[in-house]
Amino acid sequence: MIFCSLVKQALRAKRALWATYSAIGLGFLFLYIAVFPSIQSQSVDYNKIFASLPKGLMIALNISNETPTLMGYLSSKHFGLIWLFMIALVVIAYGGFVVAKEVETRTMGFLLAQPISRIKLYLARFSAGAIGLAVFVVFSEAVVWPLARVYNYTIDVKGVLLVGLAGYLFGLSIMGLSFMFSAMSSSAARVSAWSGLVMLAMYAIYIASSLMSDLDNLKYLSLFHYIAPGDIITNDSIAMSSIVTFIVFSVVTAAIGALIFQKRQVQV
Amino acid sequence: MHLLQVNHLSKKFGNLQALDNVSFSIQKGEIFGFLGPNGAGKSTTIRIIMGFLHPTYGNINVFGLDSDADAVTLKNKIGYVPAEPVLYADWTVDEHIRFVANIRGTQIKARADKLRQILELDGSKKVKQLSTGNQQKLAITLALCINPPLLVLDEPTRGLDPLLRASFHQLLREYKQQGGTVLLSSHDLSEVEDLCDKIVIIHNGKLIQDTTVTRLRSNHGHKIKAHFIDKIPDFSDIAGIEDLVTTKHTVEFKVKDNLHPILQTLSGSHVEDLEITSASLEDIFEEIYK
Repeated sequence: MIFCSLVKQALRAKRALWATYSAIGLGFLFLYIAVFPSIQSQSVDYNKIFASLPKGLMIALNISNETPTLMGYLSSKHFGLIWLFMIALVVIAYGGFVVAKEVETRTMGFLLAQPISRIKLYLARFSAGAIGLAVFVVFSEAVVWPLARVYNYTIDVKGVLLVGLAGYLFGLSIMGLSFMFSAMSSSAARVSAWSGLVMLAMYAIYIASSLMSDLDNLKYLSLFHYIAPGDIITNDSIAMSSIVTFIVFSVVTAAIGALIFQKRQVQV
Repeated sequence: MHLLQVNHLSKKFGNLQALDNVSFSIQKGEIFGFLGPNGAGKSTTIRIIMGFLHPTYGNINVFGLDSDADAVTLKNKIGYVPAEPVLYADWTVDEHIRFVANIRGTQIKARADKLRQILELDGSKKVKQLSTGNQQKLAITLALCINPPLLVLDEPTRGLDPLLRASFHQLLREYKQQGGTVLLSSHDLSEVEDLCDKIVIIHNGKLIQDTTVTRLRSNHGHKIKAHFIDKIPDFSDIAGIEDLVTTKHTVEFKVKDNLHPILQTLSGSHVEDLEITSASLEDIFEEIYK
């Protein structure tokens, strides 16, 4: 009962965040679906351009030069890059609120004056974040399936679900990271800066490792290596190593955050 | 029976010694004044009681439980009003009450509604629409509605007008009559004089007085002002007199010891007017902190 109240409270507090990002994600899908017929008709010309690009860059940017299906096109143009950054942005913004923002605005005092353990509060917020992220994934990715039906495109439901799952797990792992930073900070802006820097560093590593064969092994340090919607569509599956990496990263970072929050001094 | 016991409490923030070996105890049914200037360590002590901060050394026992290790259990028994209540700006008064009711049990709602009426607080207003005083009223409502055996109040009447302050004092007296215990941190010395059975005074993180208001006053003596028709008698030889100021027909001084020799001297003179007042807490504070 108390846990549910805390989950509801966190969802309510950040409903505008989830709703805004979901609406933007949905807007992107409408946009891409609207321009898809012209992309399809010009695919031969595009493929010539893509063929001139370095192979590593094509991999890094999740671009394939096959004749596009709707899901293949979305995976290379949207789900492989913009959508991933949207996921990162929304969960980092949410993570900042979890502890840091509440300490910054001193509302944490109101919560901690209640008979609630810090761990329960933290887990409730993680659960609320997981629900919010699921809503975002549904409106920014899974909804492509009914939209495709409306516009009479054939679409592979399994591919939609797999890309959605991969994006969701990717989001959970970044959420764990931002929760960890939130637990040790008293400023939401700082949480965004730290998390953003880590994400940018990971993306830079991913691009560098794709372009330079000497740095190939560095790709394992980047979460972006473990999510490639184009490959998921092509292979019709998610690599188990990606699932494990995302779950382990999420659990470890969130658990470190929980321990820090449990021990930290809260000056409110 | 000690309901709350602070044992050798020390707290350091980096190089700053916020609390230094502070010990005191509160009995059940007391209203206990916790006094000190800004930065003395009052709020730090309260935050340790509430489990927000962890002590560097020492501990606080409340109802026989450790405030640090058993923080969650203890908060079922503690109503807390912070020095500056910070509530959710976008929530209404009723939403705050509902949230607390969801956590502590729905039975508190009726009591919260009653308190809201006593304190004249509009339940439909959002916190951001409330004045500081009304936000304070909401914090008081949320602390009292759970009917806790212990209230921890950190300057609870800051921002309240005199009428509401009187209503709040009345609520505290009723709460005490019902067996409740209060730790009241305050800057308002008249409030402390009115309400508190015992007080501790803290300064620079150190406890400097643990006493009752009556004892504190008697230790700090009286102020005497006498106006004479003719010649002023000589008070300078009387032991215990301080701050003696003499004008043509008036004499003023403080005295800590027995009043008897002074009254004897006065009785042999033509006194036109005489004023004897106990030292106020303000005077005592000035003396302690100077």
